[in-house]
Amino acid sequence: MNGKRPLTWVIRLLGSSSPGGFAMFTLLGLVQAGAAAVSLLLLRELVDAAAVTEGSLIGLAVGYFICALMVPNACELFSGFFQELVVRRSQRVLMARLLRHSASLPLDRLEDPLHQDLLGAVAKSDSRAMIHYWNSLRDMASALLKLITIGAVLYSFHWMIPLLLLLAILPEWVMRLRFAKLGHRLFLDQSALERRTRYFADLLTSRDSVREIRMQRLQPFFLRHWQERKQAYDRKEVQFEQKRQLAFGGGQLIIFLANIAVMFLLIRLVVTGQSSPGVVVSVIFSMGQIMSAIDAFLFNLGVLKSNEHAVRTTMDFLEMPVTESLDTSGAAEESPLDIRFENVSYRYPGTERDVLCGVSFTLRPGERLAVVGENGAGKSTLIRLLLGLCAPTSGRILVNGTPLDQWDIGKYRQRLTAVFQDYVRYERTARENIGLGHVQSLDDLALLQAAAAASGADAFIEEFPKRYEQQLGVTFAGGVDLSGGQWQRLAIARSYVRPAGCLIMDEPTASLDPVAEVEVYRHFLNLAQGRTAVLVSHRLGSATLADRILVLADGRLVEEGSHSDLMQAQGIYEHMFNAQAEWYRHST
Amino acid sequence: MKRSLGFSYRLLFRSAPWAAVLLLPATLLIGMVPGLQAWLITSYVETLQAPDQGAGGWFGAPLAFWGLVVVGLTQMAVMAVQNVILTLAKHRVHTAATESVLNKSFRLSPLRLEQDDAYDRLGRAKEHVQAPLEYVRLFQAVLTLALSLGSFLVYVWSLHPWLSAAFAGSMLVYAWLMRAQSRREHRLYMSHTQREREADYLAGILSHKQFGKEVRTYGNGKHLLGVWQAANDSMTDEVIRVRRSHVLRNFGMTSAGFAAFGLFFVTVAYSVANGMTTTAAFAGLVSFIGQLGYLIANVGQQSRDFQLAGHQVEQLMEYLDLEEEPLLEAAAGLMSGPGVVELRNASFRYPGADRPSLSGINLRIQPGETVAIVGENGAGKSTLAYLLAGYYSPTEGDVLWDGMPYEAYDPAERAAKIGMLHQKPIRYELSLAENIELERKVADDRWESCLARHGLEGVVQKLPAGRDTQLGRQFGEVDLSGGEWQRVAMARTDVRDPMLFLLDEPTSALDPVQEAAVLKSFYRIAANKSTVIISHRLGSTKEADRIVVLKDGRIVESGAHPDLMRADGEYARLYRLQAQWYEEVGSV
Repeated sequence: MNGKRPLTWVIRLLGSSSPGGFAMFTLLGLVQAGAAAVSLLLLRELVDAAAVTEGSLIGLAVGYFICALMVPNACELFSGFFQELVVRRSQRVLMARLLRHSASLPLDRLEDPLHQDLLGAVAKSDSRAMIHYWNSLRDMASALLKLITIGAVLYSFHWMIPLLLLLAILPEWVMRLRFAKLGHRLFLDQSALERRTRYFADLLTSRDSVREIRMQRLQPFFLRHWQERKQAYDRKEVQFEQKRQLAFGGGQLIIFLANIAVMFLLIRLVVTGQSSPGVVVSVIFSMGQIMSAIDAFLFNLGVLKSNEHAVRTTMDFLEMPVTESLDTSGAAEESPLDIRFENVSYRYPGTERDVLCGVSFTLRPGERLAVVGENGAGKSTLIRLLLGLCAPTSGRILVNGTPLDQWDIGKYRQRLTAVFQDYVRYERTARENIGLGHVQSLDDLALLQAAAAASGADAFIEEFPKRYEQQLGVTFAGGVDLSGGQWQRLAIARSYVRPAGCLIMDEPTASLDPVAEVEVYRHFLNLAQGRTAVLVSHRLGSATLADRILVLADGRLVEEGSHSDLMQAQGIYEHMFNAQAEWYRHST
Repeated sequence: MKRSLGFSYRLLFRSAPWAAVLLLPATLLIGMVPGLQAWLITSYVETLQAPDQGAGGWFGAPLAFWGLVVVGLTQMAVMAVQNVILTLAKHRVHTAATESVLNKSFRLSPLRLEQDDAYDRLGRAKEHVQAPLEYVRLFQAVLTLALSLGSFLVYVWSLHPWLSAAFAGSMLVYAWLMRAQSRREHRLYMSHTQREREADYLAGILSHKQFGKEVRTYGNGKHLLGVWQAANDSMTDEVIRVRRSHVLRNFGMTSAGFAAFGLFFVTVAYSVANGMTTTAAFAGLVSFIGQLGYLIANVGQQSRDFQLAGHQVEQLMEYLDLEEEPLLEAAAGLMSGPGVVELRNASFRYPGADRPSLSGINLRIQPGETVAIVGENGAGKSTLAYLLAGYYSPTEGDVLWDGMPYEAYDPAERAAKIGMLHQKPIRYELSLAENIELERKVADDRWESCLARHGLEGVVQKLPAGRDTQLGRQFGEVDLSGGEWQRVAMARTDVRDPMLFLLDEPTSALDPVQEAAVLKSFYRIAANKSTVIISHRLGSTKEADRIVVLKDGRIVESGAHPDLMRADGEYARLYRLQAQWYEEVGSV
């Protein structure tokens, strides 16, 4: 929680993005309130035809017409426009800020499941949450103003009127507050059930699962699962609604009875000459205004809490510390690096086990290193630490003699390039899929083509109708679907386009067939000439390409050496290598 | 509009018939209230202004007063009832609409749903399942407004026909204007959808965790933020421009309309001043003006929302209108005993592809035989498996079981007797037992033997609640490793004891040790079943009875491993490429 108040923050955001619109939007709401009160006074005069002269009667009529009809209409129209203006403008500002912030968070913060919900909520919200918050406040102020001014007018008619009405509102007020709280609690309770319901609906309709489910004819099974949960969800919602309607109905009835009491009182007054029909008509029509003003006030009071919550969530998000900077992406560099891990351990935030334990090794410039081990042994974590994507929980990493935490991480990364096991499939053009590895090269077609050739991606890119400008992926119109292997080759090209001194590859051939696999390793060897290279793979055959192999097991470095050294040692490496080689032996 | 309305009402009738029946009279009642009120107020004021004020009536108040009370109470009650009805109906309709969408997916041919346009429609339909009830509700609201305005027209006509005509005229013009505007805005929003989706996608890259590593490693965040901003800005500017022009035009039109109306209103005031119209009648008219302002403000908003809901219903209907797969005559053949599976001269081409994925495939699988299908990626291996599974029908040629085409057999029978392990099997967020048994529990002894066959006893033991432990991170706390999930998926396929077992790339994502375990299980099962294994890891397919090599959709070689190596063709080439890593270096 921070010290700044949501109100100030919202005003500053909305006001700075569109000052004119913001002022007008607020003002118009208040003007509408004033006009309502004035029109009531004029109404009374008109009905009583108290001013008998022609001119003044017509003047009154025109005045009433303007206050009751034209002013509200104009306010409504322009208010809507200014609201949209403020929303769009502030959305532009806020969204940019949110995105910039997201992209600058440390990686383990971004991936932390505890924060995923927060990030999800914030990413989805635009500044509409902000405008709803301000809307609620404005509407409450406007409603309050209306109540006060109309109350004053009614008081001028007879002091009992506003008193009775005020008393009548109280039960409804209490009821609304109570149900706002209950409603919020219901929402929280139901969210788990809602997620499960949605899970089954998604299983039945998402591309990834439809094939398997259809083949096994499991649709009725999952449909039943969905139905059960949806019905449970609906039942609870309906129960709550029924309770709420009943309570509200009661409150409304009380208000209505108070209205009747007031009217009755007035009739007595008219009959005894203490009041006039004009007052009566005016009061009748003020009832409608009062009811809607009360409604608006209470409704907005109810949603104010949740709107404020949304604002606070966004504010808290923007307070999260950032370690990355979007601005230090300069051109990549080829200078060699000497990297040393000293007793490095790492544990993911919120977990209890070290994923890496006391790992120490040195990576010399120009060396080719392979990192092998079973799935879950810590290989990918090692790569993250190497890239500075997370910091060791103990121990330290030295680059060229200086501890990594003293380096400008952006400048450090300029000297590295990497292709990841869970590489991204950018649903953008082929050019961008390669060029996003080094944005300075996005427009250098020759460079992109060279990288594509090196990874074997050029073969299929040249076949596209639009070649490098071809949209890829099925999400957007005109997009071409690619196979896993093709996406992987693009990811490899992406890492190649970056002229860095150290090349890191994490399981680069999982989706590739034998022919393509060989190609990748051959190019890898070429590119690795004179550069430092780190290859993570569980295809141990490829480890033979390296000068030195690191074997990880349960987060520890258990063996280290060249392929022949490790085979002679007859340890874990030899065991794993033979397990794989088994399948290829005994051949003619 | 009529189609969408008909669809929405039919849906409502189906899921909540009482709601559909009660809503219409409720609407009529509420719609007539303003007219009734105006008439009652007039008579009320007349009574109050009469010389013998208040004589007659009940309890000292004129009848008209009690009439107003009754009308007010009725309005309140009807509105409350309407709210309750809508809330109750909302859930039913939502469920019914979602069910229609889910069920529709099953009735489409598998290939159809895999096409992008169908899949897009499905996505949009899912988004708009709430639309039908909203549409009905808004239709009722618009109807109410129309009735209110109509009743006002009638009332005014009784006072002053010209006023009524002027009013009617200006209303019509206004309605026409609103319609044209909302259509223009809708077109604008539709043109934006593609761009908005692109902008959302870019925003996702900057904020979702799956992109986090690459954004930080490659430093492409700033560039992407720039692209997002450009897209967003251009859309924002367009929207603001259009809205501004609409608001100004709107204001001009309504002001003109009101001015015309106002002129007549003043005329009436004049005639009152001259004693030609009663003040009571004038009071009724005047008091109604206030209501009118409220009604008109609503008409614009409601009709805009109404149009929007209409479009959403249309998108829902677009999906439900897709052509379904014709149901074949009840094919009831049963598959008795392990049979010969045959592809006879089969070809397959994906819709819209210019080349067939498979051509002239002739393949016979004897009962109990293990056949491996190998080839480069994109050679059509998975498609072949889908044909054998009966999921796709060949575009030419036949798939036969024991000499009879697949179509002759009951589809449920086929699904039970043919089991397929997919490339990326679904990891259901259900318990371990449900992940294996799915829709039908199996006898205990079969369960035990299945676990043993796939080496899963250890897994069951280490889970906190044994076989009933909820798996997966969304709703449970335990997740299995990749290798364990693969074995669970195999157990799933195996537990029903299929006669034909198809495996698609069972080990590509596994490390050597996991891979070895999975393959061992596989060959254990494959011993006495007809099995087909697809793999590009040639080491794992060496032990098959027969190996079939696919290239460019055709079978180019077929035979056992020793024979193919001797033949020194395509297979031998691919095998040597892969084995080189393990044979060149070999073990010491």
